[in-house]
Amino acid sequence: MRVTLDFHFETTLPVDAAGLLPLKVLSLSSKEIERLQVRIGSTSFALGDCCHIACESDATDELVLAGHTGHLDNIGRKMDGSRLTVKGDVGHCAGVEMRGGELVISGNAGDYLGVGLQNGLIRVERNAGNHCGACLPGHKEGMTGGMIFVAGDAGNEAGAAMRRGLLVIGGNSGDYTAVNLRAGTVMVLGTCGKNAGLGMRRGSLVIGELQGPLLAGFSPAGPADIEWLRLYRKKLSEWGMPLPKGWLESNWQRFSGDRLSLGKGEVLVHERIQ
Amino acid sequence: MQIKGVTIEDTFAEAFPMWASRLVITADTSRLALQAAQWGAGLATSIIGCGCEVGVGAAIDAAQTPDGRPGYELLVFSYSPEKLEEVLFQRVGQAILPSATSACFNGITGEKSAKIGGKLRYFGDGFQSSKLLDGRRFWRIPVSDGEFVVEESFGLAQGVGGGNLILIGKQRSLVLAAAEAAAEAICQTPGAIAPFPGGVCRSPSKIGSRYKNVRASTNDVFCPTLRSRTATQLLPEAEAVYELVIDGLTQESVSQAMGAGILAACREGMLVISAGNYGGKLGPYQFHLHKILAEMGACA
Repeated sequence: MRVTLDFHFETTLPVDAAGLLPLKVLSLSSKEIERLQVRIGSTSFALGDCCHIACESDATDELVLAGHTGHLDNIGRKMDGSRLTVKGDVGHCAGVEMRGGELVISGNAGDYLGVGLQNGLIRVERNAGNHCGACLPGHKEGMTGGMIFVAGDAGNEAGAAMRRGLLVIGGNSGDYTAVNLRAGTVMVLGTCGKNAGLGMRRGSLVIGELQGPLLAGFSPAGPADIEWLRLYRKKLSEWGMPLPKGWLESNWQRFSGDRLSLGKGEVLVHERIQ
Repeated sequence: MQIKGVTIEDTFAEAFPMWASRLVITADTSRLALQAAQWGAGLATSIIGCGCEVGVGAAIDAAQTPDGRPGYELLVFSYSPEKLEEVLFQRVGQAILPSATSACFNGITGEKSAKIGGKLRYFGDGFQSSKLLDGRRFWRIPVSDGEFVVEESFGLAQGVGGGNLILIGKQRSLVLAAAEAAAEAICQTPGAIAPFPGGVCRSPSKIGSRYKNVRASTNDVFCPTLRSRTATQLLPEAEAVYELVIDGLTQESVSQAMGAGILAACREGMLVISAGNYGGKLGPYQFHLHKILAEMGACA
């Protein structure tokens, strides 16, 4: 069954959409959905007062959010299955601590996208804000599993303290990308800002284009064997996030570090053919 | 039944359950992948003396392998999951890991699994790392030409071992040519192997011996030089006998391989195609030659 919630309620206040989880909403009747509460600012409203609700019983299971979605925060928070599609932009904290299922955002995502992600897939078709795939404030670990694909750019601290999982940024990322990385894989097909990989313990940061030198804690380790990246190329292609054509056929340089931390991480840098 | 003048005996091959694994071996070139697979299949002709039976299967196009490089499949059979795990570990560790540019992936979903990369990783001496992708863990073991990537676990599935064909003919060179043609047809069947050298065995064995502690000995009834000293099963004009042993991932793959082998072997110089069995008392699978050919629509 497909349930579409078309938000006609325009506001500049944050809207807490944490309760709109697909498995929960899809199990309710349209009357029950209308009675669900969302918080706009500090006030609760019934969902029926904020959006048009449409149910299609013969479609595949999916919850669709459309209309004025740009102020919806906490979309898919702790989501644990099924599919949630947002037709438009979303606010902050989308997919936080998600445990399964697929969250697709056709526009831009705010800060803290996929923070603490445990499993499942988040796909953003435009840009993401700061702390994408990072850790919640006060937490030591970021993503512990799952995948985040951002087709455009991401802000600062993307993949910070990631423990496990895959974060792919199709464009550029901001400063402190993969800071304090513990394990897992962060791929930036474009370029990174300052201090990429600072404090990295283990894991891999793959950078399409390096603008400046890496931090002093990274040692050059010569040409990289990218056999493992070939595994990712095939899977990413299947998942609709293909790596650039010819990317893996050219040369890669490997840097190991950060020696100021455990130093077992690696940064792979694509050598662009001049 | 006769096909192209060759008599197909109304008999059956008796086969047994075995545990099977399918490895996908890739490398920078098809030649290197084949080389790694061939070394991985070394000295694994018969479960009697080798503990396993291994054969190189079909070439795998680069588009079909996990890492997008050319590959070959390697089918490994043994009598128990424990033994299969042991031989897989030895072969991946001693033959495939040292092969230049190679990588090794699981190619089958089985009832059980064996931790191979998960144990082999210790060769990395603490420098190894892993990647978890789509629920599968891959170990990256540093080696002197880069990294050996090996999957953590390999599936172990119930397979079938002991399918066989016995080719009897007039002239050794002609019977050998027929056997080689049959072996090629068998190896082109998906999920089937012929583990003997070139797929052809010139030493069919019988169970036991006149010597104690010898589990298998020459099958004297098929030896041309013993024609006057034993209850020979050879026609007077027969000069040579070759056996083809067939293992498969399923009963269907063994059956198809036997059928393809029979049809390929029906050529000049051949007299009889038969199969070995123990009267149906030993193995639960029976592959009747006439039935296989009838199912293939190959009956004259």
